[in-house]
Amino acid sequence: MGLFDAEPIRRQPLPGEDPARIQAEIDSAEQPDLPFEVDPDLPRTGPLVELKFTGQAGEYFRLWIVCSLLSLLSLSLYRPWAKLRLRQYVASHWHLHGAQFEVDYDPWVNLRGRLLVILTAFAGLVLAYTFPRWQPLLILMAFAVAPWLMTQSNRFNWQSLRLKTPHAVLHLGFWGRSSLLYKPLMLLGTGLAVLSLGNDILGGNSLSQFAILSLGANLLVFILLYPRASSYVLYQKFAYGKLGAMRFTFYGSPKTIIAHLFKFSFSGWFFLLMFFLVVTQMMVFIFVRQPDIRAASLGLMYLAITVASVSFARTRRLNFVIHRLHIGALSFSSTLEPIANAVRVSGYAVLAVLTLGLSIPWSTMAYQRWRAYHLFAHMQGDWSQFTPIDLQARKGTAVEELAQQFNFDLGL
Amino acid sequence: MSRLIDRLIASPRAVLVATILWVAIPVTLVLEGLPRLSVAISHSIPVAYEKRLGEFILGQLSFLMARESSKEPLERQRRLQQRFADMAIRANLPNTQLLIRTGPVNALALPGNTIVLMDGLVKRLNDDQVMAVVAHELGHLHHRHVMQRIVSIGMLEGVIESLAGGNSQAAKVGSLFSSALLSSAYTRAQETQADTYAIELLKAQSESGLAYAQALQFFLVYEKQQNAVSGGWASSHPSTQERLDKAMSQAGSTTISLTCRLDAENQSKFVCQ
Repeated sequence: MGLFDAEPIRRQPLPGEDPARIQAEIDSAEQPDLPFEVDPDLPRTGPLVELKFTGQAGEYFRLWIVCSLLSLLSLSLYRPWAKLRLRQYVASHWHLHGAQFEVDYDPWVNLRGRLLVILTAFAGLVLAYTFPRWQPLLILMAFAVAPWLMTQSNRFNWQSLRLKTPHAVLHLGFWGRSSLLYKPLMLLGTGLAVLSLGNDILGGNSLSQFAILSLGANLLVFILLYPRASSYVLYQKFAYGKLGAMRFTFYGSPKTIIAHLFKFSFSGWFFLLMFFLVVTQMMVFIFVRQPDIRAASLGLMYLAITVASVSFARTRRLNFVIHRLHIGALSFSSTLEPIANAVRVSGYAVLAVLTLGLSIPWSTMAYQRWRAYHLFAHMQGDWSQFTPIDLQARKGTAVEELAQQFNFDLGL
Repeated sequence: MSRLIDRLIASPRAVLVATILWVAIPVTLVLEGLPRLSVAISHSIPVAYEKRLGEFILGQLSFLMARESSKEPLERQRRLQQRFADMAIRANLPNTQLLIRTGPVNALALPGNTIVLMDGLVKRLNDDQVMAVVAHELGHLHHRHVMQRIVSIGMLEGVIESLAGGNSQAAKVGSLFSSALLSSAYTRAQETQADTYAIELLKAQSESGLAYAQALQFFLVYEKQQNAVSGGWASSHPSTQERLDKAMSQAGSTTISLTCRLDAENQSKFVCQ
């Protein structure tokens, strides 16, 4: 069994759940050749229904500037309330088949989480600084708690959303467990811990030996272990969601995701363009001596490699998820173009820097409208087929508060 | 609070004021507030606490370069160490150590009061010029420049994160670009400050500052020889020509006719007339 041939995680039927349906789901999930491109072979669940975004840039700008300024003046103490209002604006302008999205949670939870994160980060920094040799141990400790935090983060994020339909308010939920993530994340953590030892373990006395070993170790961690962990995180996020009492059906497994991860990031003209940019950058560094030109070139390179390529890969992953996700009689499809998305997000990022952030409200609205234009929902019947569940008002635990801040989003 | 926000959002005047403040506050903070704050904070952190960071950087540095002790004659090294001890006492930094290591043309001031001189520099300059470079590095230590940089960049990233709204692509890109550019601007200001300090320290030792100008002229010649260019908005140092001009005027009129060059026959020698 190869490194990536881990057994697909089997969902165990819970009390009251139809085992035949779960088995059918597992069988579908294990199809290794399930296409992941824009139009997979999964039948849609019904006719097209309305999915639209109605937010306005002017309205959002007024809300954003006031909320952001208050956050700045209050040294970020007001941020949780500001963030909630902004999220509420965006969510409430998404409409799905006559239903409206809503976001709600207690901002105090968010504030406490923020303070916890600051304290944890400060303690981590002090430890790493005071005991630099302990760095691998700190990394391992961080990765040991990461699955738990990510699971709590998913729970918090899903449960803060609800869909107000003409029939009932349907809460979104999450029923995943952290045990799914332990193995892939601990492998990644171990790899990073070994890398952090740096020249202590890899170096010896020869610089060339260090360079070769370091390159090998980096490849192992960032080409093999990181994508593997990322695929499990993505799977957990979507395979274990709920809408009301209805569980999501995700036609895929970590195995199918990892099988396609390289296609997500390295394929076609985009990869060639990235390769061309890297070569150009190397030429600039070899032949150009002007520090300003070198810095500008490096900045453009950073933009291309991080923002553009990440957006490109994320769009492909989003398409992958959207086409495989069924929620009862509800399914989705997408015509989001990865290259168009990469260009769009890069443009927004540059504009945000040039305008000291003032363009962010406009770009947020433009981006949501663009997504709404390219996403489609299919549904048979109406919302009455979804059963609401009563969720107790969540007070939030310390872990959820902490997890919320990290906004772990390796997947999308 | 919610009602207040609703009222503010509804008022065009309030939105306009908020927009003006949104631009004015960060610009003032970055240009005026952060540099002052970072000076105050860095001076309140004990030097002993910086030492560990300095040791860590030296450890990393020793792996890539500056691994071995200098190959310069021991007699010269002893002479330089003696002059350094006197200079450090005059600079009121008596616990500073000077390490002379093999390596390229460079000198560094590490946190925790350690100065590292590389062989490439020491063998090309005479003792006076080497000590002038050491005076510049003492300037960095006197002003606690490394700690200032750590503090100011940390705060800067916090401000940018607040502006951009946290975990977004725009925040990440904005943070990286802005902190890289402003960090370069801060370090350029620090280099100028260390230049001024070096000349003042040399003058306090009854020297003219000529040796420092000579050292800068060496860097200028060496840069041309290496086909390198200094200065500009992305550079960590001001242009060497600009630094030389300032050093000449600060050192006094006796240095106006200064001409130094690398020996065409022996590139490791730098001759000044």
